[in-house]
Amino acid sequence: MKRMWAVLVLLALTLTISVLGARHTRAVTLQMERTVQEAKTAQERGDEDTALAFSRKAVSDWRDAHRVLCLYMLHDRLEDIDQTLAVLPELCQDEQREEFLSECDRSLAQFWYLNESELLTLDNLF
Amino acid sequence: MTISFVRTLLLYIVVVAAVRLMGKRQISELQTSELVVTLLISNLASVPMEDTAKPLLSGLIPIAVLVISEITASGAMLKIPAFRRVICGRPVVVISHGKLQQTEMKSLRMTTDDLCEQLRQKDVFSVEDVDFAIVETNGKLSVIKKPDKEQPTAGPLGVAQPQKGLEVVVISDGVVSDFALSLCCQDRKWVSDVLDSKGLILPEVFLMTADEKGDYFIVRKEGGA
Repeated sequence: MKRMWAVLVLLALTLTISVLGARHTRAVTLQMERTVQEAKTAQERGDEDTALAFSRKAVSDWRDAHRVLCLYMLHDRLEDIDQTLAVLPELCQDEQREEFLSECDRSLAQFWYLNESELLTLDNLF
Repeated sequence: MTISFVRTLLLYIVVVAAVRLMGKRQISELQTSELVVTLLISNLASVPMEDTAKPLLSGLIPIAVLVISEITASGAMLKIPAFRRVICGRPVVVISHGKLQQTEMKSLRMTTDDLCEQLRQKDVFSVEDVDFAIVETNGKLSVIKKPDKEQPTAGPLGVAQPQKGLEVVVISDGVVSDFALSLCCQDRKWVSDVLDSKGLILPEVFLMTADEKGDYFIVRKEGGA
């Protein structure tokens, strides 16, 4: 009987961690996509100060999110995003517009992929 | 390297706890599902142990799920015989009334060499001596010899044997086991009386066994206490 209680506790714990993990990933990626998208839109309309502010915000937000995400996500996948986001403020300051936009697109795709990898879909299962 | 060190320690604790939670079984007595789970757990634990780029949870969650599945399955096997038959199979009689069941042996892919080897491990050196041989669900062979080939025991010979009860280790390296004392229906006072009568003190005792009848055996510690 004690064993069955242990199983129930383990089951509750694993399900909670799995569901919270997926929800947290979704919340973080949505937030990050929004910030990067704002930086990209600002750069497209020529507002470089706003683009710089948003790209710095993206870097700092991602640093905070990284601490929790690395508990359950592949570290390599997170490091790829680290590297993409790290260059955004520099590119913005150096006025390398085209490269900044393409790095924004790349990070948006990485966030989409990160969120997608945690979803319970047939593609991910097989 | 420090990360690997700490991770290995953590995973060791988790794997030991997981195996403990699944219950006591000798490796050779594992059922099919238990063997699979044991192999998978050891494999799963080794991945985050050696690859620090993988989160620890990527090993812990699958281990937890395997333990949950295994305990749930063993609980279900206890309650639902049909489920147990599906997971563990049935015992197969390979020798019945002294006759080899060749069809059953073929279905088990068991050669005559395998059968003779397992019989020898049961101290049976001739197939002729066997009345029944059964391959159990854990792969072990149970053997019933023909009545005329069985060794006589005290019962049929009419030799009265004294009932000694369970003999247990009550002192190991100077430490008294209350659990062992309760098994042989004795108490600490009895132990200290015995030691006093032998002129010994507790730290001088390396081993003491006792049984329900009050018979005991003492080994002194070498080189004094």
